[in-house]
Amino acid sequence: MSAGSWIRWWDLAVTLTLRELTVRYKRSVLGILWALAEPVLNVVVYVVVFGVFLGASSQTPNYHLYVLAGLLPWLFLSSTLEQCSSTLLEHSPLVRKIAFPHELLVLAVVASRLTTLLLGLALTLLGAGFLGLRGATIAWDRLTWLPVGLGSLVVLTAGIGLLIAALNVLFRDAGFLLRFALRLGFYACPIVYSLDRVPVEFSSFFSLNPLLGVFWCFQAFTSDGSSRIESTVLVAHALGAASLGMIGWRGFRALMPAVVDRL
Amino acid sequence: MTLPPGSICLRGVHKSFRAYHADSTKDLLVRALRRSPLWARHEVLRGVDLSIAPGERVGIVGRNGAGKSTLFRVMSGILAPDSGDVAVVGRIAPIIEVTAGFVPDLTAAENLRLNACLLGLSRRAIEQRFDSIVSFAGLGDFTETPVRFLSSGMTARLGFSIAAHVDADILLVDEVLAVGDATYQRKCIDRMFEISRGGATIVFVSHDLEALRTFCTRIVVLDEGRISRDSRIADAGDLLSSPLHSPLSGPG
Repeated sequence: MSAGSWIRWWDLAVTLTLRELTVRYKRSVLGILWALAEPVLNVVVYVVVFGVFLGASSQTPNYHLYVLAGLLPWLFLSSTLEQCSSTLLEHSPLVRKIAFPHELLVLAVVASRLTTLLLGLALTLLGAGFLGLRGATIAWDRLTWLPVGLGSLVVLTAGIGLLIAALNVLFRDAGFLLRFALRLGFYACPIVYSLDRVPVEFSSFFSLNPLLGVFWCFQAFTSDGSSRIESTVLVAHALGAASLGMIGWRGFRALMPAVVDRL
Repeated sequence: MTLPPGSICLRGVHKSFRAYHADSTKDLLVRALRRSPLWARHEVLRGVDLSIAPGERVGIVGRNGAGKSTLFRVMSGILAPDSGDVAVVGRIAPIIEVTAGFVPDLTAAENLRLNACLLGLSRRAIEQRFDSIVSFAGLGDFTETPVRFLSSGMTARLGFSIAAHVDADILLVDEVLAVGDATYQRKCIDRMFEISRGGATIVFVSHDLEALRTFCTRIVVLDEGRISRDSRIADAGDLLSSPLHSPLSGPG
């Protein structure tokens, strides 16, 4: 591709992303503040139900911070995928009538949700700083893992998002299946519980979860550093995320001609 | 062989669609298990050869279902042909099936920016031309109205206005005149002449014989997915004179 067309598609990506953001918070009084209110309100519920009623906060240090740090990547993943599943259908007039790299429709969803995630992360770090001042143990040095987790998460989400976007045009069942998988996924991922609470006989099954590395990277700094993970496992998960991203993109490319015919 | 910008060259282009018998995945599975056919092949383009040189003004005529819109979508790179070669050089601005690629829930202004961007204008260029696009389309105070609430005439005018402002090398114009009044039709034709004088190639689908006669330099007849006739405007008198006996009219 020539430099000119890169600029052209960059402009398109920016236009689509800005639109996603403005459309989402249009006509709401709190506007972009919802990006922060949503995870915080969720955390309150989980801390009360799982932390207090079921006693998880006595087992996991800084439980509220832990839940927030895990919930942010999960909300990013689930909300992005749900929106990806309908984005090609919503933009079908464009897909039917103008030729352009259709990946951009999906990537704009990812980018707009990523801004929400980054805002949430900023809030989390502020919260962690506050807790640190009040004497809680925060493993600040483990924040270096955060970019690794963020990178893996974005690539993985984009890959699955591309695939689900194309599949949902061909088979509407894909959207329903996704929503069910996300419900299940919330409990399959260590968000409201920590991994060391999982019984040993399940742990090998749990380590197959490609998101495990991502969650570890996001949550590692919230405790005193007693929860360990092998760095080889993290590398394996990062590579797994990268290959899922690649598979998703290849799959999208392969499915798109059929998708355009069907739209 | 390298073609100059504004050229279109199609060689043996075939395009067919699958018309699915099943409308849900469950139906599809049931049919697959019973080994009954899942879809019917519906051939729309059956071997189209067409070369258009830069600056030509080509009118494409044919009955409904002759394959004009599919031909446009193949030319503009939206659909990949099943077989055959498509070479289109330069920036192409298509207006397909009257409305351009408008998303009904977005406002006219949002659709304008999105479409102009898709057709290759930079964000800065869009802001510079925004007002003239809106005024050519005669949108008035409707820029912040979702496109679903605009009249079909207004939607078509906006689509044409955007395509006419993106400095395309090739302009594909499908049926825009069908929805406008006489003044607007005149305005469109004038604008198309202006773009053509700038050197752009214009391919024009219309059922309006008068418009074809005044505007085109060449007439191509598409019939059941094939080109049945291709002649210079001077030799196309019989095609364009009497609508009643013309090969263009008839059922469908």
